[in-house]
Amino acid sequence: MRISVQSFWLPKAGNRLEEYEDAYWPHEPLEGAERARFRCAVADGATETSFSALWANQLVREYCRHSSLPRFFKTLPRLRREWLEHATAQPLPWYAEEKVRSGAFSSLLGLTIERATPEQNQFASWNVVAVGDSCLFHLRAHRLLTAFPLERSEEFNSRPYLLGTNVLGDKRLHGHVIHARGECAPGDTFYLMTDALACWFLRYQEAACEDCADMTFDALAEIRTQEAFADFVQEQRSQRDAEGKPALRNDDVTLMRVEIAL
Amino acid sequence: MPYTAEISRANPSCFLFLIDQSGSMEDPIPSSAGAASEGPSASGPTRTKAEGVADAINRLLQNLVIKCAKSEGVRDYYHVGVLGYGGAVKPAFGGALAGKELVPISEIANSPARVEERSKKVDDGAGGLVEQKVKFPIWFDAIANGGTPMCEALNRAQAILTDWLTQHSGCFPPIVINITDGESTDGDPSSAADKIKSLTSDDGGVLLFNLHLSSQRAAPIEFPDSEAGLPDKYAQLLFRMSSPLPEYMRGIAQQEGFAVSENTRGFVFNADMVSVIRFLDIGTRPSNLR
Repeated sequence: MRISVQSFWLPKAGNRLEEYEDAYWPHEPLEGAERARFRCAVADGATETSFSALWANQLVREYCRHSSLPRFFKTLPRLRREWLEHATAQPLPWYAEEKVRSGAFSSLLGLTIERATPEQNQFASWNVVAVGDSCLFHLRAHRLLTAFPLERSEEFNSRPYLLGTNVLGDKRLHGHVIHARGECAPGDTFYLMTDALACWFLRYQEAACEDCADMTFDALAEIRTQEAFADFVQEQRSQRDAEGKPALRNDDVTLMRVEIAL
Repeated sequence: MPYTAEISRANPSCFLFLIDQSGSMEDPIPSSAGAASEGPSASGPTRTKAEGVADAINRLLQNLVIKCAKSEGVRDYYHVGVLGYGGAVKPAFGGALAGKELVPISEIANSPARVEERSKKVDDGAGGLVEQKVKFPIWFDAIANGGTPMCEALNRAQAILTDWLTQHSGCFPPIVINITDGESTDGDPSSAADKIKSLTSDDGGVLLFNLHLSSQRAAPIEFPDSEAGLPDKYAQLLFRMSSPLPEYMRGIAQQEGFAVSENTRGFVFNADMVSVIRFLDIGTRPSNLR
Protein backbone atom coordinates (compact mmCIF):
# COMPACT_ATOMS: atom_id res chain seq x y z
CA MET A 1 0.00 0.00 0.00
CA ARG A 2 1.43 3.37 -0.98
CA ILE A 3 0.56 6.47 0.98
CA SER A 4 0.86 10.11 0.02
CA VAL A 5 0.27 12.78 2.64
CA GLN A 6 0.25 16.55 2.48
CA SER A 7 -0.75 18.95 5.25
CA PHE A 8 -1.57 22.63 5.12
CA TRP A 9 -2.26 25.09 7.88
CA LEU A 10 -2.97 28.72 8.56
CA PRO A 11 -3.67 30.72 11.73
CA LYS A 12 -6.79 32.77 12.21
CA ALA A 13 -6.58 36.01 10.19
CA GLY A 14 -5.21 38.73 12.44
CA ASN A 15 -3.16 36.27 14.51
CA ARG A 16 0.57 35.65 14.19
CA LEU A 17 1.91 32.37 12.84
CA GLU A 18 3.09 31.32 16.30
CA GLU A 19 -0.44 31.79 17.61
CA TYR A 20 -1.71 28.87 15.50
CA GLU A 21 -3.16 26.33 17.95
CA ASP A 22 -4.11 23.42 15.71
CA ALA A 23 -1.68 20.53 15.32
CA TYR A 24 -1.09 17.71 12.86
CA TRP A 25 1.13 14.66 12.56
CA PRO A 26 3.13 13.51 10.66
CA HIS A 27 4.74 16.87 9.97
CA GLU A 28 6.66 15.73 6.91
CA PRO A 29 4.82 15.06 3.65
CA LEU A 30 4.91 11.55 2.17
CA GLU A 31 4.95 10.83 -1.56
CA GLY A 32 3.93 7.28 -2.42
CA ALA A 33 5.63 5.79 0.64
CA GLU A 34 5.17 2.01 0.99
CA ARG A 35 3.42 1.26 4.30
CA ALA A 36 1.62 -1.72 5.79
CA ARG A 37 0.10 0.58 8.36
CA PHE A 38 -0.16 4.32 8.58
CA ARG A 39 -1.34 6.64 11.36
CA CYS A 40 -2.02 10.35 11.22
CA ALA A 41 -3.88 12.87 13.34
CA VAL A 42 -5.06 16.45 13.58
CA ALA A 43 -6.07 18.36 16.70
CA ASP A 44 -7.50 21.76 17.48
CA GLY A 45 -6.46 23.50 20.69
CA ALA A 46 -9.29 25.54 22.23
CA THR A 47 -8.97 29.33 21.95
CA GLU A 48 -10.26 29.97 25.45
CA THR A 49 -7.61 27.85 27.15
CA SER A 50 -3.88 28.45 27.55
CA PHE A 51 -1.00 26.31 26.33
CA SER A 52 -3.51 24.51 24.12
CA ALA A 53 -1.17 24.36 21.09
CA LEU A 54 1.29 22.42 23.24
CA TRP A 55 -1.45 20.02 24.31
CA ALA A 56 -2.76 19.59 20.74
CA ASN A 57 0.78 18.77 19.55
CA GLN A 58 1.31 16.27 22.35
CA LEU A 59 -1.92 14.51 21.41
CA VAL A 60 -1.26 14.12 17.68
CA ARG A 61 2.31 12.88 18.16
CA GLU A 62 1.36 10.43 20.85
CA TYR A 63 -1.60 9.06 18.89
CA CYS A 64 0.72 8.31 15.95
CA ARG A 65 3.35 6.66 18.16
CA HIS A 66 1.12 3.93 19.50
CA SER A 67 -0.05 0.75 17.88
CA SER A 68 -3.43 0.74 19.58
CA LEU A 69 -5.93 3.17 20.99
CA PRO A 70 -5.95 1.72 24.54
CA ARG A 71 -2.18 2.24 24.65
CA PHE A 72 -2.62 5.82 23.57
CA PHE A 73 -5.22 6.49 26.25
CA LYS A 74 -2.94 4.90 28.87
CA THR A 75 -0.34 7.57 28.14
CA LEU A 76 -2.74 10.45 28.94
CA PRO A 77 -1.68 10.76 32.61
CA ARG A 78 1.97 11.08 31.52
CA LEU A 79 1.07 13.60 28.82
CA ARG A 80 -0.88 15.65 31.38
CA ARG A 81 2.09 15.67 33.77
CA GLU A 82 4.41 16.76 30.96
CA TRP A 83 2.00 19.51 29.94
CA LEU A 84 1.79 20.84 33.51
CA GLU A 85 5.57 20.76 33.93
CA HIS A 86 6.02 22.71 30.74
CA ALA A 87 3.22 25.21 31.45
CA THR A 88 4.52 25.96 34.96
CA ALA A 89 8.25 25.95 34.12
CA GLN A 90 8.31 29.75 34.46
CA PRO A 91 6.71 31.84 37.23
CA LEU A 92 3.29 32.93 35.99
CA PRO A 93 1.17 36.04 36.58
CA TRP A 94 -2.09 35.49 38.49
CA TYR A 95 -4.26 35.15 35.39
CA ALA A 96 -1.95 32.63 33.73
CA GLU A 97 -1.87 30.56 36.93
CA GLU A 98 -5.66 30.47 36.96
CA LYS A 99 -5.68 29.49 33.30
CA VAL A 100 -3.24 26.63 33.90
CA ARG A 101 -5.41 25.47 36.79
CA SER A 102 -8.40 25.09 34.51
CA GLY A 103 -6.22 23.28 31.94
CA ALA A 104 -5.80 23.14 28.18
CA PHE A 105 -8.29 21.46 25.89
CA SER A 106 -8.11 20.13 22.36
CA SER A 107 -10.00 18.06 19.88
CA LEU A 108 -8.32 14.95 18.50
CA LEU A 109 -8.99 13.13 15.27
CA GLY A 110 -6.77 10.09 14.66
CA LEU A 111 -6.85 7.90 11.55
CA THR A 112 -5.21 4.48 11.13
CA ILE A 113 -5.05 2.74 7.75
CA GLU A 114 -3.91 -0.89 7.55
CA ARG A 115 -3.22 -3.00 4.50
CA ALA A 116 -5.40 -6.12 4.54
CA THR A 117 -3.94 -9.58 5.10
CA PRO A 118 -4.08 -11.98 2.14
CA GLU A 119 -7.07 -13.83 3.62
CA GLN A 120 -9.14 -10.64 3.93
CA ASN A 121 -11.24 -9.86 0.92
CA GLN A 122 -10.29 -6.19 0.68
CA PHE A 123 -7.35 -3.92 -0.05
CA ALA A 124 -7.08 -2.06 3.22
CA SER A 125 -9.11 -1.06 6.25
CA TRP A 126 -9.29 2.16 8.21
CA ASN A 127 -10.40 3.12 11.66
CA VAL A 128 -10.79 6.53 13.20
CA VAL A 129 -11.19 7.95 16.66
CA ALA A 130 -12.52 11.40 17.46
CA VAL A 131 -13.01 13.59 20.50
CA GLY A 132 -14.52 16.95 19.54
CA ASP A 133 -15.27 18.48 16.18
CA SER A 134 -12.24 17.87 13.93
CA CYS A 135 -13.55 15.81 11.03
CA LEU A 136 -12.62 13.02 8.62
CA PHE A 137 -14.01 12.79 5.08
CA HIS A 138 -13.50 9.66 2.98
CA LEU A 139 -13.81 10.25 -0.77
CA ARG A 140 -13.90 7.82 -3.66
CA ALA A 141 -14.22 8.99 -7.27
CA HIS A 142 -15.96 12.27 -6.46
CA ARG A 143 -18.25 10.67 -3.94
CA LEU A 144 -18.28 11.35 -0.22
CA LEU A 145 -18.45 7.92 1.45
CA THR A 146 -18.01 8.97 5.07
CA ALA A 147 -18.22 12.16 7.09
CA PHE A 148 -17.13 11.66 10.68
CA PRO A 149 -17.84 12.45 13.51
CA LEU A 150 -20.08 15.32 12.39
CA GLU A 151 -22.27 14.90 9.33
CA ARG A 152 -24.14 18.20 9.13
CA SER A 153 -22.81 21.75 9.21
CA GLU A 154 -25.35 22.82 11.84
CA GLU A 155 -23.77 20.38 14.31
CA PHE A 156 -20.78 22.71 14.75
CA ASN A 157 -20.85 25.19 17.62
CA SER A 158 -18.29 26.97 19.78
CA ARG A 159 -18.85 24.66 22.77
CA PRO A 160 -17.60 21.16 21.81
CA TYR A 161 -16.57 18.54 24.37
CA LEU A 162 -12.77 18.34 24.16
CA LEU A 163 -9.91 16.30 25.56
CA GLY A 164 -8.41 18.15 28.54
CA THR A 165 -5.25 18.26 30.58
CA ASN A 166 -7.42 18.64 33.64
CA VAL A 167 -8.64 15.23 34.65
CA LEU A 168 -11.71 16.78 36.32
CA GLY A 169 -12.89 18.06 32.97
CA ASP A 170 -12.65 14.57 31.55
CA LYS A 171 -14.99 12.75 33.89
CA ARG A 172 -17.34 11.95 31.04
CA LEU A 173 -14.62 11.47 28.44
CA HIS A 174 -15.56 7.87 27.82
CA GLY A 175 -18.91 8.87 26.34
CA HIS A 176 -17.28 11.40 24.02
CA VAL A 177 -14.68 9.15 22.37
CA ILE A 178 -16.26 8.19 19.05
CA HIS A 179 -15.05 5.49 16.67
CA ALA A 180 -15.74 4.43 13.11
CA ARG A 181 -14.18 1.99 10.69
CA GLY A 182 -14.43 0.95 7.08
CA GLU A 183 -12.56 -0.37 4.08
CA CYS A 184 -10.64 1.59 1.49
CA ALA A 185 -9.37 1.02 -2.00
CA PRO A 186 -6.56 2.33 -4.20
CA GLY A 187 -7.47 5.81 -5.44
CA ASP A 188 -9.35 6.74 -2.26
CA THR A 189 -8.63 10.03 -0.53
CA PHE A 190 -9.08 10.96 3.13
CA TYR A 191 -9.25 14.55 4.30
CA LEU A 192 -8.69 15.44 7.92
CA MET A 193 -9.88 18.96 8.77
CA THR A 194 -10.25 21.11 11.84
CA ASP A 195 -13.70 22.54 12.49
CA ALA A 196 -13.93 25.74 10.42
CA LEU A 197 -12.87 24.01 7.22
CA ALA A 198 -14.93 20.89 7.97
CA CYS A 199 -18.00 23.08 8.48
CA TRP A 200 -17.29 24.85 5.16
CA PHE A 201 -16.96 21.49 3.42
CA LEU A 202 -20.22 20.12 4.82
CA ARG A 203 -22.13 23.30 3.99
CA TYR A 204 -21.24 22.81 0.34
CA GLN A 205 -22.26 19.14 0.44
CA GLU A 206 -25.68 20.26 1.74
CA ALA A 207 -26.07 23.16 -0.71
CA ALA A 208 -28.91 23.02 -3.22
CA CYS A 209 -26.69 23.69 -6.24
CA GLU A 210 -25.92 20.61 -8.30
CA ASP A 211 -22.16 20.93 -8.62
CA CYS A 212 -21.40 22.44 -5.20
CA ALA A 213 -20.06 19.17 -3.81
CA ASP A 214 -17.92 18.59 -6.92
CA MET A 215 -16.61 22.13 -6.62
CA THR A 216 -15.29 21.41 -3.10
CA PHE A 217 -13.71 18.12 -4.20
CA ASP A 218 -11.92 19.91 -7.06
CA ALA A 219 -10.91 22.90 -4.94
CA LEU A 220 -9.35 20.67 -2.29
CA ALA A 221 -7.67 18.36 -4.82
CA GLU A 222 -6.03 21.32 -6.51
CA ILE A 223 -4.32 22.47 -3.32
CA ARG A 224 -0.76 21.20 -3.63
CA THR A 225 1.25 23.96 -1.97
CA GLN A 226 0.98 25.98 1.22
CA GLU A 227 0.67 29.13 -0.92
CA ALA A 228 -2.29 27.68 -2.82
CA PHE A 229 -3.88 26.73 0.49
CA ALA A 230 -3.38 30.25 1.88
CA ASP A 231 -4.98 31.75 -1.25
CA PHE A 232 -7.90 29.35 -1.03
CA VAL A 233 -8.50 30.09 2.67
CA GLN A 234 -8.26 33.82 2.16
CA GLU A 235 -10.76 33.69 -0.69
CA GLN A 236 -13.26 31.59 1.25
CA ARG A 237 -12.92 33.81 4.34
CA SER A 238 -13.75 36.86 2.24
CA GLN A 239 -16.78 35.35 0.48
CA ARG A 240 -20.10 36.14 2.15
CA ASP A 241 -23.36 34.21 2.15
CA ALA A 242 -26.83 35.76 1.92
CA GLU A 243 -26.78 36.50 5.69
CA GLY A 244 -23.41 38.22 5.40
CA LYS A 245 -21.55 35.39 7.12
CA PRO A 246 -18.14 34.38 5.72
CA ALA A 247 -18.12 31.14 3.71
CA LEU A 248 -15.20 30.02 5.89
CA ARG A 249 -15.28 31.12 9.53
CA ASN A 250 -12.15 32.96 10.67
CA ASP A 251 -10.33 30.41 12.79
CA ASP A 252 -7.11 28.43 12.74
CA VAL A 253 -7.42 26.03 9.85
CA THR A 254 -5.74 22.70 9.07
CA LEU A 255 -6.14 20.37 6.12
CA MET A 256 -4.45 16.99 5.77
CA ARG A 257 -4.86 14.93 2.61
CA VAL A 258 -4.09 11.21 2.64
CA GLU A 259 -4.11 9.41 -0.72
CA ILE A 260 -4.03 5.63 -1.07
CA ALA A 261 -2.49 3.80 -4.01
CA LEU A 262 -1.56 0.22 -4.91
CA MET B 1 -27.23 39.89 11.41
CA PRO B 2 -26.55 41.79 14.66
CA TYR B 3 -24.19 40.68 17.44
CA THR B 4 -22.05 38.55 15.15
CA ALA B 5 -18.99 40.81 14.74
CA GLU B 6 -15.76 39.03 15.49
CA ILE B 7 -14.08 40.21 18.69
CA SER B 8 -10.34 40.42 18.05
CA ARG B 9 -7.33 42.55 18.90
CA ALA B 10 -7.79 44.33 15.59
CA ASN B 11 -11.51 44.82 16.27
CA PRO B 12 -11.89 44.95 20.06
CA SER B 13 -15.14 45.42 21.92
CA CYS B 14 -15.77 47.44 25.04
CA PHE B 15 -17.05 46.89 28.58
CA LEU B 16 -18.10 49.76 30.75
CA PHE B 17 -18.96 49.06 34.38
CA LEU B 18 -20.90 51.56 36.47
CA ILE B 19 -20.55 50.99 40.18
CA ASP B 20 -22.78 52.57 42.78
CA GLN B 21 -20.59 53.91 45.60
CA SER B 22 -23.31 55.96 47.32
CA GLY B 23 -23.95 56.20 51.05
CA SER B 24 -26.95 53.85 50.84
CA MET B 25 -24.52 51.07 49.92
CA GLU B 26 -23.51 50.86 53.58
CA ASP B 27 -26.72 48.95 54.28
CA PRO B 28 -26.34 45.21 54.76
CA ILE B 29 -27.44 42.61 52.24
CA PRO B 30 -29.03 39.36 53.35
CA SER B 31 -26.41 36.66 53.86
CA SER B 32 -28.14 34.42 51.33
CA ALA B 33 -27.75 37.02 48.56
CA GLY B 34 -25.50 35.54 45.96
CA ALA B 35 -23.65 38.38 44.28
CA ALA B 36 -20.37 36.80 45.25
CA SER B 37 -21.32 34.01 47.58
CA GLU B 38 -20.25 31.22 45.25
CA GLY B 39 -16.73 32.42 44.74
CA PRO B 40 -13.61 32.57 46.80
CA SER B 41 -14.59 36.07 47.83
CA ALA B 42 -17.55 35.10 50.01
CA SER B 43 -17.44 36.94 53.29
CA GLY B 44 -19.42 36.92 56.51
CA PRO B 45 -23.12 37.45 57.10
CA THR B 46 -22.83 41.21 57.80
CA ARG B 47 -21.74 42.09 54.27
CA THR B 48 -22.76 45.52 53.10
CA LYS B 49 -24.02 46.35 49.63
CA ALA B 50 -20.76 48.27 49.08
CA GLU B 51 -18.80 45.09 49.78
CA GLY B 52 -21.14 43.26 47.44
CA VAL B 53 -20.39 45.81 44.71
CA ALA B 54 -16.63 45.50 45.26
CA ASP B 55 -16.84 41.71 45.12
CA ALA B 56 -19.02 41.82 42.00
CA ILE B 57 -16.76 44.20 40.04
CA ASN B 58 -13.56 42.41 41.15
CA ARG B 59 -14.98 39.07 40.05
CA LEU B 60 -16.25 40.45 36.74
CA LEU B 61 -12.85 41.96 35.94
CA GLN B 62 -11.05 38.79 37.07
CA ASN B 63 -13.20 36.62 34.82
CA LEU B 64 -12.91 38.97 31.86
CA VAL B 65 -9.10 39.02 32.19
CA ILE B 66 -8.95 35.23 32.45
CA LYS B 67 -11.15 34.91 29.38
CA CYS B 68 -8.66 36.98 27.37
CA ALA B 69 -5.51 35.37 28.86
CA LYS B 70 -3.34 33.14 26.70
CA SER B 71 0.02 31.53 27.39
CA GLU B 72 1.89 34.58 26.10
CA GLY B 73 -0.17 37.18 28.03
CA VAL B 74 -3.55 38.87 27.89
CA ARG B 75 -4.98 39.65 24.47
CA ASP B 76 -6.70 43.00 24.17
CA TYR B 77 -10.08 41.76 23.00
CA TYR B 78 -11.74 44.40 25.21
CA HIS B 79 -11.20 47.92 26.36
CA VAL B 80 -12.68 48.37 29.80
CA GLY B 81 -13.80 51.28 31.93
CA VAL B 82 -15.17 51.49 35.46
CA LEU B 83 -17.12 54.60 36.45
CA GLY B 84 -17.89 55.06 40.12
CA TYR B 85 -20.90 57.12 41.18
CA GLY B 86 -21.54 58.42 44.69
CA GLY B 87 -20.03 61.64 45.97
CA ALA B 88 -18.93 62.19 42.35
CA VAL B 89 -19.14 60.48 38.96
CA LYS B 90 -15.60 59.62 37.88
CA PRO B 91 -13.32 56.86 36.64
CA ALA B 92 -12.89 54.56 39.63
CA PHE B 93 -9.54 52.89 39.04
CA GLY B 94 -6.64 53.83 41.28
CA GLY B 95 -2.88 53.38 40.94
CA ALA B 96 -1.44 53.26 37.43
CA LEU B 97 -4.93 53.39 35.89
CA ALA B 98 -6.18 56.39 37.91
CA GLY B 99 -8.27 58.83 35.91
CA LYS B 100 -8.44 56.67 32.77
CA GLU B 101 -11.88 56.16 31.25
CA LEU B 102 -11.15 53.13 29.03
CA VAL B 103 -8.05 50.94 29.13
CA PRO B 104 -7.06 47.77 27.27
CA ILE B 105 -7.86 44.67 29.34
CA SER B 106 -4.15 43.71 29.51
CA GLU B 107 -3.41 46.88 31.48
CA ILE B 108 -6.14 45.98 33.95
CA ALA B 109 -4.72 42.44 34.23
CA ASN B 110 -1.35 43.82 35.20
CA SER B 111 -2.55 46.57 37.55
CA PRO B 112 -4.69 45.19 40.37
CA ALA B 113 -4.36 47.19 43.62
CA ARG B 114 -3.21 43.93 45.24
CA VAL B 115 -3.46 40.18 44.75
CA GLU B 116 -4.84 38.24 47.73
CA GLU B 117 -4.46 34.56 48.31
CA ARG B 118 -7.72 32.87 49.13
CA SER B 119 -8.81 29.33 49.76
CA LYS B 120 -11.23 27.69 47.42
CA LYS B 121 -12.86 24.29 47.76
CA VAL B 122 -12.45 22.30 44.55
CA ASP B 123 -13.49 18.87 43.39
CA ASP B 124 -10.73 16.35 44.14
CA GLY B 125 -11.84 14.07 41.31
CA ALA B 126 -12.82 11.32 43.74
CA GLY B 127 -16.14 12.67 44.96
CA GLY B 128 -14.67 14.90 47.66
CA LEU B 129 -13.50 18.47 48.03
CA VAL B 130 -10.00 19.75 48.65
CA GLU B 131 -8.92 23.21 49.64
CA GLN B 132 -6.80 24.99 47.07
CA LYS B 133 -4.99 28.32 47.34
CA VAL B 134 -5.97 30.68 44.54
CA LYS B 135 -4.82 34.18 43.75
CA PHE B 136 -7.62 36.73 43.84
CA PRO B 137 -6.86 40.14 42.37
CA ILE B 138 -8.45 43.19 43.99
CA TRP B 139 -8.96 46.37 42.04
CA PHE B 140 -11.70 47.87 44.20
CA ASP B 141 -12.49 48.04 47.89
CA ALA B 142 -15.88 48.93 49.31
CA ILE B 143 -16.72 52.63 49.11
CA ALA B 144 -19.97 54.25 50.31
CA ASN B 145 -20.56 57.97 50.40
CA GLY B 146 -22.74 60.67 48.89
CA GLY B 147 -25.89 60.38 46.81
CA THR B 148 -26.69 58.04 43.89
CA PRO B 149 -26.35 60.13 40.72
CA MET B 150 -27.30 57.26 38.41
CA CYS B 151 -28.62 59.56 35.66
CA GLU B 152 -25.33 61.44 35.61
CA ALA B 153 -23.39 58.16 35.54
CA LEU B 154 -25.46 56.87 32.61
CA ASN B 155 -25.01 60.17 30.75
CA ARG B 156 -21.25 60.03 31.29
CA ALA B 157 -21.27 56.42 30.03
CA GLN B 158 -23.16 57.54 26.96
CA ALA B 159 -20.53 60.20 26.22
CA ILE B 160 -17.66 57.71 26.65
CA LEU B 161 -19.33 55.15 24.39
CA THR B 162 -20.25 57.74 21.76
CA ASP B 163 -16.52 58.48 21.43
CA TRP B 164 -15.61 54.80 21.43
CA LEU B 165 -18.15 54.01 18.70
CA THR B 166 -16.87 56.82 16.51
CA GLN B 167 -13.48 55.13 16.53
CA HIS B 168 -14.71 51.50 16.49
CA SER B 169 -17.79 51.51 14.29
CA GLY B 170 -17.44 47.85 13.29
CA CYS B 171 -17.06 46.48 16.81
CA PHE B 172 -19.17 43.96 18.65
CA PRO B 173 -21.51 46.33 20.54
CA PRO B 174 -20.20 47.56 23.89
CA ILE B 175 -21.74 46.13 27.05
CA VAL B 176 -22.55 48.35 30.03
CA ILE B 177 -23.01 46.64 33.38
CA ASN B 178 -24.53 48.81 36.09
CA ILE B 179 -24.09 47.49 39.64
CA THR B 180 -26.40 49.30 42.05
CA ASP B 181 -29.12 49.20 44.70
CA GLY B 182 -31.28 51.07 42.22
CA GLU B 183 -32.06 54.05 44.46
CA SER B 184 -31.18 56.88 42.07
CA THR B 185 -31.12 60.31 43.73
CA ASP B 186 -30.88 62.46 40.59
CA GLY B 187 -34.13 61.43 38.94
CA ASP B 188 -35.60 58.57 36.95
CA PRO B 189 -32.70 56.97 35.04
CA SER B 190 -34.97 55.38 32.37
CA SER B 191 -34.42 57.97 29.65
CA ALA B 192 -30.64 58.10 30.25
CA ALA B 193 -30.68 54.29 29.94
CA ASP B 194 -32.66 54.51 26.69
CA LYS B 195 -30.10 56.92 25.27
CA ILE B 196 -27.28 54.45 25.97
CA LYS B 197 -29.24 51.61 24.34
CA SER B 198 -29.92 53.76 21.28
CA LEU B 199 -26.16 53.93 20.54
CA THR B 200 -25.13 51.45 17.89
CA SER B 201 -22.14 50.00 16.11
CA ASP B 202 -22.56 48.46 12.65
CA ASP B 203 -23.20 45.19 14.51
CA GLY B 204 -26.05 46.26 16.80
CA GLY B 205 -27.10 48.33 19.78
CA VAL B 206 -25.17 48.88 22.99
CA LEU B 207 -26.28 46.42 25.67
CA LEU B 208 -27.16 47.67 29.14
CA PHE B 209 -27.30 45.07 31.90
CA ASN B 210 -28.11 45.69 35.55
CA LEU B 211 -26.97 43.89 38.68
CA HIS B 212 -29.25 44.85 41.53
CA LEU B 213 -27.88 44.49 45.07
CA SER B 214 -30.67 44.87 47.56
CA SER B 215 -31.23 44.72 51.33
CA GLN B 216 -34.56 43.03 50.61
CA ARG B 217 -34.81 39.49 51.90
CA ALA B 218 -35.81 37.80 48.67
CA ALA B 219 -34.45 34.89 46.70
CA PRO B 220 -31.76 35.72 44.13
CA ILE B 221 -33.13 36.08 40.58
CA GLU B 222 -31.07 35.59 37.42
CA PHE B 223 -32.03 36.76 33.93
CA PRO B 224 -35.82 36.98 34.36
CA ASP B 225 -38.11 37.48 31.36
CA SER B 226 -40.80 39.45 33.17
CA GLU B 227 -40.94 41.98 35.96
CA ALA B 228 -43.74 40.07 37.62
CA GLY B 229 -42.26 38.45 40.71
CA LEU B 230 -39.50 41.00 41.17
CA PRO B 231 -39.46 42.06 44.82
CA ASP B 232 -39.63 45.87 44.66
CA LYS B 233 -40.03 48.93 42.47
CA TYR B 234 -36.24 49.37 42.15
CA ALA B 235 -35.83 45.85 40.78
CA GLN B 236 -38.72 46.46 38.37
CA LEU B 237 -37.19 49.72 37.17
CA LEU B 238 -33.76 48.16 36.65
CA PHE B 239 -35.38 45.23 34.81
CA ARG B 240 -37.16 47.63 32.45
CA MET B 241 -33.90 49.51 31.86
CA SER B 242 -32.04 46.29 30.96
CA SER B 243 -31.50 45.13 27.37
CA PRO B 244 -32.97 41.81 26.24
CA LEU B 245 -30.24 39.18 25.78
CA PRO B 246 -29.34 38.99 22.08
CA GLU B 247 -30.15 35.72 20.36
CA TYR B 248 -26.59 34.39 20.41
CA MET B 249 -26.30 35.03 24.18
CA ARG B 250 -29.62 33.31 24.78
CA GLY B 251 -28.28 30.28 22.96
CA ILE B 252 -25.21 30.06 25.18
CA ALA B 253 -27.25 30.85 28.31
CA GLN B 254 -29.53 27.96 27.41
CA GLN B 255 -26.55 25.62 26.95
CA GLU B 256 -25.42 26.74 30.42
CA GLY B 257 -28.74 25.70 31.90
CA PHE B 258 -30.57 29.03 32.21
CA ALA B 259 -34.26 29.04 31.31
CA VAL B 260 -34.50 31.81 28.73
CA SER B 261 -37.11 33.26 26.41
CA GLU B 262 -37.12 36.06 23.85
CA ASN B 263 -38.00 38.45 26.67
CA THR B 264 -35.11 37.46 28.92
CA ARG B 265 -33.21 40.54 30.02
CA GLY B 266 -29.69 41.18 31.23
CA PHE B 267 -30.78 41.69 34.81
CA VAL B 268 -29.94 39.87 38.05
CA PHE B 269 -31.20 40.51 41.57
CA ASN B 270 -28.79 39.76 44.45
CA ALA B 271 -27.07 37.27 42.19
CA ASP B 272 -23.91 36.75 40.24
CA MET B 273 -23.43 38.27 36.78
CA VAL B 274 -20.13 36.54 36.02
CA SER B 275 -22.09 34.20 33.77
CA VAL B 276 -22.36 37.09 31.26
CA ILE B 277 -18.61 36.73 30.70
CA ARG B 278 -19.17 33.10 29.73
CA PHE B 279 -21.86 34.22 27.27
CA LEU B 280 -19.22 36.10 25.24
CA ASP B 281 -17.86 34.33 22.21
CA ILE B 282 -14.18 34.88 21.47
CA GLY B 283 -13.54 31.37 20.15
CA THR B 284 -13.85 27.74 21.11
CA ARG B 285 -14.74 27.19 24.74
CA PRO B 286 -14.83 23.51 25.69
CA SER B 287 -18.18 22.44 27.09
CA ASN B 288 -16.27 20.49 29.78
CA LEU B 289 -14.19 23.52 30.90
CA ARG B 290 -14.87 24.16 34.60
